[in-house]
Amino acid sequence: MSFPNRGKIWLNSYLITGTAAAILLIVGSIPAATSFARRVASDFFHPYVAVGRAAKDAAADKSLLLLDHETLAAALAETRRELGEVAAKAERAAALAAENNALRQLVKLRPLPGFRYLTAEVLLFDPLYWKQHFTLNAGSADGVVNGAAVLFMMRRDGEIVPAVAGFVGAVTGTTCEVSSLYDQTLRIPVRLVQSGAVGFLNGENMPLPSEGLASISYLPLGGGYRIGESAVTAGFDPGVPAGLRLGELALIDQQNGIFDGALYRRGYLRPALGGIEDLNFVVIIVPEPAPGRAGE
Amino acid sequence: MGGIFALFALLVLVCCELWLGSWHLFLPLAADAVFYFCGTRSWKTALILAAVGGAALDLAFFRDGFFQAAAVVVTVPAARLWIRSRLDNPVALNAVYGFFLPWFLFVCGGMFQMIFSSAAVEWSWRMFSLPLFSGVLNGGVLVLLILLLDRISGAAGFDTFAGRSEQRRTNSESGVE
Repeated sequence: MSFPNRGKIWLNSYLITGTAAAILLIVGSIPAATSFARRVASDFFHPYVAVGRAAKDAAADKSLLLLDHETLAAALAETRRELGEVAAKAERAAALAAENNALRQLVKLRPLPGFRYLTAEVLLFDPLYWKQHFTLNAGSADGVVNGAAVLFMMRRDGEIVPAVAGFVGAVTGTTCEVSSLYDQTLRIPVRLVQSGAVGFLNGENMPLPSEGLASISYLPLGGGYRIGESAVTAGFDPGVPAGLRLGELALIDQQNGIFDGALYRRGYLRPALGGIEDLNFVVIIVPEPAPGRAGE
Repeated sequence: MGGIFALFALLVLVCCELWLGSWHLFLPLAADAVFYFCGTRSWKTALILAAVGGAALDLAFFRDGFFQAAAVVVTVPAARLWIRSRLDNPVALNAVYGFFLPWFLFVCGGMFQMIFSSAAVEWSWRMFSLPLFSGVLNGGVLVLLILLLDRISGAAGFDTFAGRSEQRRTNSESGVE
């Protein structure tokens, strides 16, 4: 018995194997290629995109000069007063941190990592994913690292307090992308202050009951939750300080002890960052290696 | 040279789209450029420009996947279909295509994200105000862009949209396909 098309069959099998290998190579190299291309694209567009920001800043500076002397003097005095208050608080916090580290050494615990504070400006908002993420004008050249917390200043009861706007998701040389708390791919541990419960932000990919909320999953049953209680960072990640304000508990799922077989409860966070369009200046908290551990 | 001009125009428009995006204005200028070069050059050039422009936008905005790039690529057959049937119409009529372009990108991008991403897409009526507003603006912007690029192309000696349109009209009047 002979096979007249045997050569063609071999050719076809080589072709199929080659195509499959090529597809495998292309698909396998996509993540690395994307990462490289993202760095190139972001750094390529950065100077051109920054032109718009520079023009806006120049216009803002000019409009500031149009104000009268009394208004400017009053604003300066107010800023000095606020700076004095912040400096006093920072000094007190530094003393407490030093005392805390001394106490930790006594009980043979590692000292807490230090943090650096970088200021940055929002460079780009994405019109299609407006609330989910934004781009800052600081990158790895400034010391920004993945996972760093990004704070903004909010006014609460007449005082200016810091709150989390998001976390750094990707870094290039000159820019970084920040995932806000509305981004469903951002998953971080959250601690509710009054009940002391810990859950996970966006732990499940579930639909939200209304806009402007983010889900907190895997909260323990019971718990004595209170609507409006503060939610803060849990401090499980050594790169993110504990106790940073995230928002407040807006809703909690009802619990039925007899018929409900759920092992956990789900709550909903109202992030402190409400209107993302008001965001302009932010502070990035970058972890520093603990003393004596720089080489690790 | 025409290809380099197309690529340069696309990159300038991508930059403009990035600026305008920061003001919450979704003007698909890269997709508009793809439409223009689909009319003046070939659908193959438009396909390459769509992939490059869409990918550049997705990368610069740090998006999770190339969903918008895929959506811009999908506009090429739509642009070709429109140009084949409407090229001999007045330039202002392209505003209709410009109106539907943001809708097309919005829905296609969302569907690609639903299929390929773990992040859920929340469809709500409020979300549709963005492509509606963008569509109204983009209708006018596409016509202006065609006129502007025609001026530059004409000065540089490249094929123009109006020239192609005129050629099509002449051909249809003389019965040449």
